[in-house]
Amino acid sequence: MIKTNISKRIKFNIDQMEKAFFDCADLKKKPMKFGKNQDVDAYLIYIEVTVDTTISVLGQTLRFLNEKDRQEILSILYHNALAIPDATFFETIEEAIDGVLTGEAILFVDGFDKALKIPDGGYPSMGISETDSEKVVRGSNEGLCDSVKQNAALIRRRIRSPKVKAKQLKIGVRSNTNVYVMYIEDLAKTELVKEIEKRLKNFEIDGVLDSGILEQLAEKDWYSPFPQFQTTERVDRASMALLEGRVVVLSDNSPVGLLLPTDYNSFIKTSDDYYNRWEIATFARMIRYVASFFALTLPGFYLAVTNYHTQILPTSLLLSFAKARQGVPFPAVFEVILMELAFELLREAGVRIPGNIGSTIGIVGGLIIGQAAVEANLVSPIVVIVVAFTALCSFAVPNEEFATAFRLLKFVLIGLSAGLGYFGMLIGLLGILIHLSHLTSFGNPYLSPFVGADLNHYQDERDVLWRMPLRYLRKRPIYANEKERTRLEFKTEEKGNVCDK
Amino acid sequence: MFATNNQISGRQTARLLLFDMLGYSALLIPAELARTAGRSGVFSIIFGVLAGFIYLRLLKKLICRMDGSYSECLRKCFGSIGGNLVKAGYSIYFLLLAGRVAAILGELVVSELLEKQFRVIIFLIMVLVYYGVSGGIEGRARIYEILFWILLIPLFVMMLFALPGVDTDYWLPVMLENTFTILQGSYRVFLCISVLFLVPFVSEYVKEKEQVYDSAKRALMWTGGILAALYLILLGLFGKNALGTLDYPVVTMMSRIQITGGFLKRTDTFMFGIWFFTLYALLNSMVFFAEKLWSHGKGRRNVWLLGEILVVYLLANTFYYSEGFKMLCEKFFYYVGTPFIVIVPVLLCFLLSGCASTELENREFPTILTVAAESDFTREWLDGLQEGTKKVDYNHLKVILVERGFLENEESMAEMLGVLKDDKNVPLNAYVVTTEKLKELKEGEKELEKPLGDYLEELLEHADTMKKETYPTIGLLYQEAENRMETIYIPTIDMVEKKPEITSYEVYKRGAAVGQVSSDVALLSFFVGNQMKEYVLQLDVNNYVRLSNARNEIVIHEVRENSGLLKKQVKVEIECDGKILRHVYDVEQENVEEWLEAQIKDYMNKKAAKALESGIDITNSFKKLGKEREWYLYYTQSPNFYEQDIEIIFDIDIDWID
Repeated sequence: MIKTNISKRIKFNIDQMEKAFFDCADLKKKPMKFGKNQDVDAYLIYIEVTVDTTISVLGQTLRFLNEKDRQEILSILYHNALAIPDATFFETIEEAIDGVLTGEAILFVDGFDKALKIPDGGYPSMGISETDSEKVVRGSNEGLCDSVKQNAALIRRRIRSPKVKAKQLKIGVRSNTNVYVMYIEDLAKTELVKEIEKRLKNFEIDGVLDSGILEQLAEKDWYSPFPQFQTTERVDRASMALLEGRVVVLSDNSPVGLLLPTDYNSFIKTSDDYYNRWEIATFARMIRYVASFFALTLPGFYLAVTNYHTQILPTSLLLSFAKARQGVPFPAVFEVILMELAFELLREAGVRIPGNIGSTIGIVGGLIIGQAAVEANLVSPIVVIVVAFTALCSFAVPNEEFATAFRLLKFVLIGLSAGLGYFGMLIGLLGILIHLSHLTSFGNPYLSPFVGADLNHYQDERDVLWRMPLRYLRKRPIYANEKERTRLEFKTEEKGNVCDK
Repeated sequence: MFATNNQISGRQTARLLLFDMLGYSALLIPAELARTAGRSGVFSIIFGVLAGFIYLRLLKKLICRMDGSYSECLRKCFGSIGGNLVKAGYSIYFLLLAGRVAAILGELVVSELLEKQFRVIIFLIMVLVYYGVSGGIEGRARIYEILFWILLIPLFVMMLFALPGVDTDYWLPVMLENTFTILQGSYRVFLCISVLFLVPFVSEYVKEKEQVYDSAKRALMWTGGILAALYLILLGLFGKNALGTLDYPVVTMMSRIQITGGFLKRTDTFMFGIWFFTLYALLNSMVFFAEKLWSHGKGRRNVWLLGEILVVYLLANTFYYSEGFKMLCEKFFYYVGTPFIVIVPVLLCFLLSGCASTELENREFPTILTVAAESDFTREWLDGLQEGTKKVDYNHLKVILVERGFLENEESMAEMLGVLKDDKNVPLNAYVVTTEKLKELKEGEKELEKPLGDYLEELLEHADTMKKETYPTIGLLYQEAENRMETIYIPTIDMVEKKPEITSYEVYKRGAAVGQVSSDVALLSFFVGNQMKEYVLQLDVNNYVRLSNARNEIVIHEVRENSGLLKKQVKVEIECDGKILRHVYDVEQENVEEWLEAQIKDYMNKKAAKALESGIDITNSFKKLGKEREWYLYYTQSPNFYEQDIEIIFDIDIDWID
């Protein structure tokens, strides 16, 4: 791309900027004269709401320059003697345009062949708030916000090390979205960082309005229902990922950070798994694993057992199932699908309905519709229990995107079990297992550390189904640079504290 | 990052082979044994598994001699046409076995789960086989690595639940059947576990070939154990005659088990999953390796794979619908197929032993292995196995020169020791030395009259004052990596007047480098440990003595200090011959020896105490802790306290020689 150098003649620069930003009512473009003798032509351009011209750095700069004569002003500018730490000089018109669009004020001065970027408030954003998802009982609930810079600062607040790096990429031909690739220099594998950058640069798109767009475009196995990027709205989670040697991708205008690489186990973990004692963390972790299994299989199992393999159930239970279904006009499969769809509908409506009514409608709808459907003999109470339990299980999976994969695949298993019974269920489960075994996230097997644990000397197995006491989690996971795997050491080993290193 | 490199781990190999063997054999063997070996069936299992181990030993020899893939090896030994013929033989076996397994799987589904069309079931299974095989060996291995406990725990639970129904009267009397029928039964067992013939095929996908053998051995042990236990349970449940009449007794067993008080009435449906996944594993393996024998390139691979899937589909249908074909194929497996797949590797093993895989002139024999501080050892080791057109043979390695930075990195050292230990070519008696200036030493080699490896070996072995086994070898380091009991002194080599010399020693304490000590400290430690022929001691500029023929003893005991606290005292009782080399002090002649002994004792006490301050016990007494059980238990758990808790004192008794 050919770039146009900024001229010493301000008229040329003004023409260029006006040409670029004509019909932009939201921009302030102010030709002005300042200096002691009011003889210095200048041109200030900024997006209206991003800059405060009175008490801000810009206001102070303008007042300061207004007291100097022409020669002094040019000398100050040439020698960068404004005493503004974040002032940047642009040499081309294109850079100046980019500067305006990042929400900074740009000042052109006649006789000076550079544009001066003066930092100010920047674009308005929602600010830092509590996370809506991934709630924890113990630990900070501080969430990421829409500003990539604030998000990076929030992470840096937790890891105050110069080794935390943030590479800036501009993605989106028109949106020019700031994307930060954050990692800890000595912990993250260099080839991983390069691969992530390569994938992010591998496409051209007009605009990136959320990190979800990046995720979908950079994913290798795009057809898989299982996400290969882990998402988080939690600052502590992102920081923890960095300490594990993973890479965090932050996109401007998105409160969702992407953690890479990832695996099945990472989606089941929550932040407070590490803040709580190991016994409760392990218990919760196991419940989540079981929940993820039932979220996928329970309706299918119900159909396989009631339609094909009734011998599994004790007679009394079987008879009560049969009794409950008496008078229901639909076949069991239709009944299950109907209830599952009704539940999905309630869920979708709950999300879209504004404010607190959303969650209310979920509960009320569930209770009333379920009760009414049972009383009207449209569905049997057993199916309501099965669907409700499945729904509960799906909510126990901490990551929304990951839980969605189970919710979708559940329907596949319902279909297979309805048609082929337990054999269909086995076929479906084996198919999913094969798919998961083929899946990788930036080279990391999706099923690790259940597979390939030997590569990290079985250390990762200490934090899978169970979470061993923190004092035994001395090594970083396999994602981290091999030479920097130790993360915990005791200065003195007490008797009984010893574990194999 | 993980590499998608078509390589699997030892654990994955073991689990893959276990599932390949277990499903097929557990389904078929019990009934067949009941019909042939009867109550002595368990002996048939033992003999069959033993035969499996012997076969595995042969396969181990083969894989160690193989250079390249098994397919290439066949071509090399039997020529192009011969190799292709053998490969065709393999393909027929693979496809027939795959068809047979698919038919059994389909038959089981039809009889146990779903009374639906066999063809539809087989079609769905074959679709999954295609999907599974297309993921390559890594995908397949991951599935079975993850399924291992998920399948085995329910199996063990099921066997446990079956135990109360076992009538041990059905087990006796044994050895009623004649030896021939027992051996016939063993052959049946061997037929089923002869899936071990996959070992040379799998070895291509495992980084270290030795690992394949170990994994196969583990898989065979598990299979043998489970089969024996299962057979005894089934025999006890059904009795010999009834057992012989059942098609798949293990499946029948599962439908008989009553789980009292449980939520589930019958679990045979759930348990069917075990056979579904294990049979699928074998089916998948057969298709995978049949495809690997012939296909090259991705485009052709898919065509081959689809062709194979179609053939297996047709064969499975034929097995199911045609009893005659099934009988014929059973005979084929019994008399032709299995002997063929067993004999080919054995034959190959003998053929390969006749000609070394690499001729002498095409091999390079390095005498030194240098490891730089920043080295990525595994990668460099693998890269270094080939030197241009020559294969590197480490059989004559004499010295391993490790740069100090590397030596002090515990993880890198563990990795290096692991890699070297697995390579049986690396001699255990290769010396380990260290340096801070590896580059300088390498450059200095040009000015030596012999290669650096030979020079250093001579330097270490021909030291007049040292016993031969004094300096640490790689074997000792392997040992220490596991035992973590000793303090070892690794010589530090530097260029002194353009010649490599030992200038100091790196202390390697309980499996980790802890810092450098001067030669004085190391030599004293060698002397205390009776590792020196003679020890020349310079007490000061005017007094030199030579101590020899040392018979030193180290005793640890507890003493009470003045403060009342108990302290562990390491007492070194020095008993040796002494000779005064120089003495110019004004001490009366009759008191000289006494005076010198006091000086020596003082010298040794000071050196030992100083070293102890740096956490180094020159007496190496930690390894003697085993004599005191309580101390041993305490300090093996908290080894870092040991050097803080002890004091060392010397007791000297010298026979002075005129």
